[in-house]
Amino acid sequence: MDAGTLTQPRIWLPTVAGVGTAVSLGVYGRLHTPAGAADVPAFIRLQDTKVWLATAVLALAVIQLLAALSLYGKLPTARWIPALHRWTGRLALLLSLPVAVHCLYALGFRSDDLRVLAHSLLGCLFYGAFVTKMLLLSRPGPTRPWTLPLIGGLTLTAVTGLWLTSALWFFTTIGPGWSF
Amino acid sequence: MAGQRSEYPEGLSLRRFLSFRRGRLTPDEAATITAQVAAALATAHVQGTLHLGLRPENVVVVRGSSPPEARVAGFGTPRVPDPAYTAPEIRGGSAPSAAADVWSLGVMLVEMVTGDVQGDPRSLPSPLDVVSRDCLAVEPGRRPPAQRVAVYLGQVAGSLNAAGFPGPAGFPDAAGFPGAAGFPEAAGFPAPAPGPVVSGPPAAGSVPPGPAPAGTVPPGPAGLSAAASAFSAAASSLPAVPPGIFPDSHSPAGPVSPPEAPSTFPTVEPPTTFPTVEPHATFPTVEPHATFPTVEPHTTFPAAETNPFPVERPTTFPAAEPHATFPAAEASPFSTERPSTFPATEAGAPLAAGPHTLPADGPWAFPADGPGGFATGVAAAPAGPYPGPDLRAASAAPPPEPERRRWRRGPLLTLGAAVLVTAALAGLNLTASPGERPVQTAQQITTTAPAGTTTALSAPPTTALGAPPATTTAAQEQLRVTLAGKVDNDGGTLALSIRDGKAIAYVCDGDRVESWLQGTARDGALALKGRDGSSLTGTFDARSAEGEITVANATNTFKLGVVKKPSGLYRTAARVRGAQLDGGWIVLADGRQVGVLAVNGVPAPAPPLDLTTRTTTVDGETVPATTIDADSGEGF
Repeated sequence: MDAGTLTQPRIWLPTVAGVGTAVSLGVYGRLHTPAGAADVPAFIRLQDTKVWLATAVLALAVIQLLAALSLYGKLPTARWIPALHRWTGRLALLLSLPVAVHCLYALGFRSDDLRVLAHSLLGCLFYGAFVTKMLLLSRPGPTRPWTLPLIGGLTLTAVTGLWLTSALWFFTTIGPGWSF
Repeated sequence: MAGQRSEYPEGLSLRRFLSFRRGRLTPDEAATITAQVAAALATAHVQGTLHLGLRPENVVVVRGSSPPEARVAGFGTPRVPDPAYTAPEIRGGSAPSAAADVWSLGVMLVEMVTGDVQGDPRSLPSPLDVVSRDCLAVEPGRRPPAQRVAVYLGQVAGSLNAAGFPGPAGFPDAAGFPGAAGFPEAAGFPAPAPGPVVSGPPAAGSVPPGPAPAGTVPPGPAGLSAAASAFSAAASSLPAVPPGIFPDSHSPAGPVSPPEAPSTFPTVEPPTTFPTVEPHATFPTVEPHATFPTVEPHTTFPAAETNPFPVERPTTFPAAEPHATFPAAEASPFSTERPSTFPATEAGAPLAAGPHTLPADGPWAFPADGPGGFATGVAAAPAGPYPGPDLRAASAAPPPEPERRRWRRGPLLTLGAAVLVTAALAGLNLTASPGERPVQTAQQITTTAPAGTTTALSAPPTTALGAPPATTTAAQEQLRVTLAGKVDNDGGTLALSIRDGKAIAYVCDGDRVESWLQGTARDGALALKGRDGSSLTGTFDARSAEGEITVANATNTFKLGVVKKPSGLYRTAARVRGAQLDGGWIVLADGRQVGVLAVNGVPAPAPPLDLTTRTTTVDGETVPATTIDADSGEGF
């Protein structure tokens, strides 16, 4: 990690890594045979857990948005705002991972209908954007001021879309806490 | 928290700058900023203005500046002080003094380097630890004047930014300090032209002794007031400071807390916060004596000192002080032979205005002898604990990118942790999918597609989401079910696994006869064939299947029902001690097992299958079996 080539990559490395992540997830989801679930009730129970996790992620994403607005001076700030932003982000990511892993492993990338297709695409987009954002944050050198808001907004958009196409759908069609 | 905005026209607040840097700066950045802030403080102090609200929110880091260029805002706008940055004596109720600003400066320095406002000064790298420690002396009188901090840190930052730090580090170099009015640009501070932030000029330049038109600022109280107003409009709202009032820290109506104290940080409009002061007005070119009208005999700065960094007193912090934990032997750069650089506040001593500071003879004298005094003083510094050669070497790289040369670890760690968690979860999924099956109790219809679920529940899909459930055909094609039962006429036991249109069947009599069949299960029709000529036809739905099966030239009817895990179909293919094992088991709904195990092609009744470990034991060897799992697709 010394000076030299590693410090040179400017915008392209995060972008390439993010796009690569998104595409890899999509390709895996497409190629991997979905494992499915044991049975309907177990599946529903699992999905029920997942939608609540996803809802928690969305709530954290809202906090993320507010904290980011604060960091950018659009809202009152406080000393703990950056830490709040970082840790809610990490928590959101952590909570999202079981959901995503199960989705990808058990269901895969699907295009049965618009909702499922949008959900699959947004899922890939979310983790790609996240990788890009982390690398942008980490990368040495100056960052154009619009990159972080852009990629942060992309991440937030993806999370919101993911929630709308999964948890909200689940709540409205199956209902929260539903089980056999 | 005070809901202050900290957006400034020309840059970010240091608070936000820190947050963008995840709370921490490099030592040389911290030194650079601290030096500039200290210089601004020094200038203000000379003019009788205290800040007393110094904290990262009030320091502006000019956008795009590199190395960071800091300015100080908020002079003369008293507000509720932030206890984290407030000197202990102020918290204790003592009258404010310039040393209180120095305390805040020390807190900021520690915070910039450690990321913690309550960080340990000793944890700072070599030159900064001593500086911050001295600034954080409990006794106000032991803290160095801001001016010294400015010069010292300017020197440190200069040596850290070896490639040329344009800020106060320029002091030692006379060329970098052209004196007179040229200072703002030359010292690395852009002319404060329209940018009305109170900028922190190197104090030495703040009162340029140069060819100022005499009388631009009249001497006396008015001159002080005018000079103060150069720092901020708010400062000018302070009452004119008569000579001597500033040093009198007991004065309740001192310049620090005017009765008409503005309530909040006035950053609503740039003109309000940052008065548009003409450059020449910001740094008034007044004659020295006009700027330092408060000539008092008991000077703060030892006039006779030629070395501005005397280290006669090795112990800056007497043992009685809380900070005495600091290594006493370490020479303080600010230590003087006198215990207090700032005379104790009770003494009402002046901060910076002594006759000796004025003209030329003291090394700390700001103006008249120009850079020479500083050059001398700073040149003496390296003998002290300051710019170690290691530090120079450490950051000798040219700073086109002086802010951050390395990949920041936090986000990378976050990414790495995410990858690890993902891998763990994926592994968990892989292993848990089989493991969780034995405890499942419900019927074994699996429609993984949420769309299929919707159909089953006949719940109304939300049009907003545009998620119509799959068609019936699609749902049937996604049917995943395992069925088992007896073949009529003692034709054996049959198990059938259907997954997404594919079907696998196994029939065996538990003794000699067995057959595996494969085929399709579409549109309610079964059509399977085995390699040995066996075949199966029939119909199915989600709960049952019936039809005919032909095995070993015998055709029999069957009727199967759904079985739930762990009931179902299992098979094994393994090599044990040179023998090829091929076997299959059907576990019926009531738990009974029927199986045939062929050893080197010779079928025989299979040993029992342990459903929890999914193994069987052959000749004392544990042999794993796999399930034909319609749900996971395992075995298909």
